[in-house]
Amino acid sequence: MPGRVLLFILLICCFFGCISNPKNKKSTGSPVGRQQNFAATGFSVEDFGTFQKLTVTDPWQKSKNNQFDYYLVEKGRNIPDVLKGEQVFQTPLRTVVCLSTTHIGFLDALKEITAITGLSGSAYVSNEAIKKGLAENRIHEVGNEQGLNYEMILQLKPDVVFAFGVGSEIGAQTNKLHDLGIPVVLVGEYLERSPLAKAEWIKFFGAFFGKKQMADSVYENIRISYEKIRNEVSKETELPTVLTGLPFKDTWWIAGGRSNLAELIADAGGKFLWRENLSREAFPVSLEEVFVRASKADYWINCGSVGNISELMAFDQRFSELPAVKKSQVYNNNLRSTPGGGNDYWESGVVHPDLVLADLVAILHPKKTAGKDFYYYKHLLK
Amino acid sequence: MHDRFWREAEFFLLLVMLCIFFLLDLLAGSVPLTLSQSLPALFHPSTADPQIAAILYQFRVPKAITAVMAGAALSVAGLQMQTIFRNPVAGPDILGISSGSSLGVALFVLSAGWIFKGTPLFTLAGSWGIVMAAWLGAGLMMTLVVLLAARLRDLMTVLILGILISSAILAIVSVLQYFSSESSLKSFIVWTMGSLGSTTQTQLWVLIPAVMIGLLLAFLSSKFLDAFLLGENYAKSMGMNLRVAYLLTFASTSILAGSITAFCGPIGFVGIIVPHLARKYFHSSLHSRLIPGTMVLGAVVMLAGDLISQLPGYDITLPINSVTSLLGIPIVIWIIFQNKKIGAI
Amino acid sequence: MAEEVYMVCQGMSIGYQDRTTPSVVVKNSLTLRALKGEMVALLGGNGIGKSTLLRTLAGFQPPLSGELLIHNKPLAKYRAEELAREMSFVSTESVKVAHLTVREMVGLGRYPYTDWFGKLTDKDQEIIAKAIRDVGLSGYEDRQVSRISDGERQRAMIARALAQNTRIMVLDEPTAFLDISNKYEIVRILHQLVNELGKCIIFSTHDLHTALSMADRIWLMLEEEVVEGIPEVVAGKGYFDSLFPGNPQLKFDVDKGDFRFRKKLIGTVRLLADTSMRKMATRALERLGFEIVGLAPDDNPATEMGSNKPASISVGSVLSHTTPADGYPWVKMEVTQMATGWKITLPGFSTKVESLEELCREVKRLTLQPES
Repeated sequence: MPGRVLLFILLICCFFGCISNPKNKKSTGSPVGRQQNFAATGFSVEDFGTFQKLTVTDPWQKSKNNQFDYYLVEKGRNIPDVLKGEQVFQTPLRTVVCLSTTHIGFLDALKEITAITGLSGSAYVSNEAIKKGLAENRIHEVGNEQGLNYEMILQLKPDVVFAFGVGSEIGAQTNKLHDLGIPVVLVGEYLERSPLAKAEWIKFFGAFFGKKQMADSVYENIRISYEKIRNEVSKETELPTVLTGLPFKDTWWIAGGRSNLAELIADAGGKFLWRENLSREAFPVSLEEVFVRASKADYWINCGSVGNISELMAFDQRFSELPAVKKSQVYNNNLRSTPGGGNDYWESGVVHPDLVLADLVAILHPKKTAGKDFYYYKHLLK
Repeated sequence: MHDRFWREAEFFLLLVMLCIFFLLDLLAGSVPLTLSQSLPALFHPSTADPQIAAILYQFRVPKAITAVMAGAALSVAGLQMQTIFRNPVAGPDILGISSGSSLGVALFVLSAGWIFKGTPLFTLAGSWGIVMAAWLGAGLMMTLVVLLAARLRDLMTVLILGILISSAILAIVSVLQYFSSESSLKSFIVWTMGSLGSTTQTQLWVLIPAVMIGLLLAFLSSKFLDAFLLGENYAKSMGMNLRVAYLLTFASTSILAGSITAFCGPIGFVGIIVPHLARKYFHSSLHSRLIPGTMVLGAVVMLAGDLISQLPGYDITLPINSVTSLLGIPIVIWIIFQNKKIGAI
Repeated sequence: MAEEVYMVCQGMSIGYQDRTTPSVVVKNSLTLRALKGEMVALLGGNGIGKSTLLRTLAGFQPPLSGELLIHNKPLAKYRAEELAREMSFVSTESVKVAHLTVREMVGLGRYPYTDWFGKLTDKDQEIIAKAIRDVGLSGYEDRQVSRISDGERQRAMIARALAQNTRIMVLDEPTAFLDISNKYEIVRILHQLVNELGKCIIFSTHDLHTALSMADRIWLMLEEEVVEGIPEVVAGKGYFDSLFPGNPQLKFDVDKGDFRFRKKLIGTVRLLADTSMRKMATRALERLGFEIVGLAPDDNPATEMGSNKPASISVGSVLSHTTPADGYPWVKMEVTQMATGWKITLPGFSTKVESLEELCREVKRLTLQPES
């Protein structure tokens, strides 16, 4: 009897030992060069001469102290001994699988679209080249979340699968892929706090394709462009007020006051109606409250996926009395939406926040940007 | 008769409670309104502060009316089902009407991008689309049940089949949920939580007549239901036309439950508990008294539920389905224990 | 007179018919009549088809073939409400509904006469009140149906059928779960309704005694047929013997009007007791399986009706057959009443007991022992 109890306790200890995170920090020496990110905090790139170390930190919501290291070695070079047992990628990658359409945006900016052999959510793709590839069966759908088609991925034998996690359950997926011998890289760009930080992940992707210079320069251009546009309106004193979201049943989900959208609005010289809110995620507000506050809104943007005012009013026609609707100042970010339900705003828009900002400035300060065409946004009409 | 007086007094008291709760519900909401602000706005909307008038007439009044309609409709539907099936925990969705609506809405919301590739059906029709889909689903379910009842002689079999079909439908809905996108899923889940506040004035113009028709049919079936108290055999021996009775009550229940589910989403437990509360309050099982009594009591209970869901003092509101479930479950348990004593409806 | 024949069926066969399964015939070719002012008792063993017959007569299930006429009109031609005004039904089910008063329940019987909403007029209320009075439930009007006793509830159900004001009443074992007093009350009430109001009442029962002594007509349901006639004729012609063919121990005693068990005898006993105790002692000893032989000279043997056997008394449940019970040795015993009790004498043995009860116990104990 005591023998059994002891065995049981031993098993419990082993169990707990296994699930704790073994962080074997190998000493890799000190980096030769460390890339200083402008805004992004979710990743870092360190140059060690013979190899590069990419670190992704906390790539899912509510993640704490989770770190993922990826080592990159140029093709043709020997893999240093110190990297034995680590996840090593030989750059440049030839074929990749992307589990988010946002990744397509980054790869397009790096002109590495042809590397994609598989992706998730083919119905939502905006990129023309990818759509062609899908139609011609050169690019394959691999499913998503629980429905990930592991067999397809195995067949494709990609050099890497770019994945993203919403919560800690992503661990199961990555483990499964590891078991199958497929390299996985977690991308956490959507958790970045600002539009420019999000776009900066192009450098992350660039490292995998050996295109550091290109990534850096593309990003520089975007950053300069963005800041230029921002400066143009930074001196405005009359800031129009902005409402976002749309009603569904009893509640209206409003973008968080510290969300990317809120920042974009602020940078575009607008006053977000709930700017006092401190959340990064969208939060519910009762219809009544929105009704009262929105009576002061000049503009209404990002209202789901409606195409015109009647569709919007179909959700709840009580809001037809809002000044934004009456003055016909409702704009939605789905100008570049696809019939399949996709939206380029979420694809290339992530890597080109300057274009998004330009659209918003054109919306909020029409006098300054007379005659400019919208790229992502469209004016909602009856 | 002394008895008579008390009976009328009971009813009158209930009506007074209804008015009080209605008024309280008008005052409850995220935008704080006081009685002194609301009363003038309510009765003289043209001269009052337009914003307060707008809030009252666009949001609060429709919501309170919806609550009254939902409470009355679901309770009367539940009463009919409890009597017909002689089952104390029967409710309006015992025939699977709720599941039928769910299937309709699920097909509409969840598969919009999947089945109808390329048509954002969801946004095309918005809230009316959901209503139509829910009604259609409920209607189909009712037709199915009526056909079954016509073919099968045994009511118990109809009941069991109804439950099995419900389960099958919910399984299908699960599959749809599995394959849908995050946002569609969220929309569907939100629908299942029920909402009293999303009916607009125009929608009320459809909801109220529908509920009225259902209630009228219920009134007409009052005599049948009384006969049913003694069971199918006795009812038949007293000259009741079983076919007409079933048709009338099933039609009434379907219209009542289907309409409310279409506009407000599925709201549970109210239909089960209110008839019991009514029986206890009025000390009667006769439907000539119970049907109007249940209507008013149901309205009061639903208004109370809405008041609770507004959580006065806090910023957030609870979905109505959660409130009715939290309140309803202990009461259903109490009902079950009560019945152990009497052994009757 | 044809108007007096309330119900008649010709060559009717009853049973169950499903769309999918072949029909199950319970009884074939029945020809029965029930007249105005008649109380008809339907008798028969369990499972023989009494309920099926009553349900068919009441219109709950259609006859498989043959004719069934109510007031000279085929049952099938009646509309539900029409039929409800001619025939009411009371079943064995004990209906339990909460929050229903006796008056309200009896009021349900007015169903075929009220409007769409079931409103009761003053006349309806009068009929209801009278029905309640007629079943002897005056004062119970406002009592809850679920709170009264079974007998009272059954009477209330009958009151409901009464309020339905029909010329024919069909009752399926109305006295099934009632005690003797209630059984008697119910039948008495039914009898009164038949005599005073000229109703035709058909009811099934297991209570032979009551049926034979109160019914105007018997429908005796046997394995192959249903025999119909007045009680005395049906009994006298020996039909009752065929009632329980599976049980040879049961014999119908025409004179007593009831069934008697054939008891296994274990012996004979000579009883000496005075008049006051003799009857009880005789019954007790017979119950224990003894045949009484021989008496004290001053006793009269006239305890059996029309008996020609002075040497034996058969009172109660013993047949005068001297068949020894299997496996038991034949006992010859003498029981004598003493001043302070009883004396039991067996060959080579005797004992004394103080009371009749002890006597029984002692006799039982003794007779179960091997012969001493």
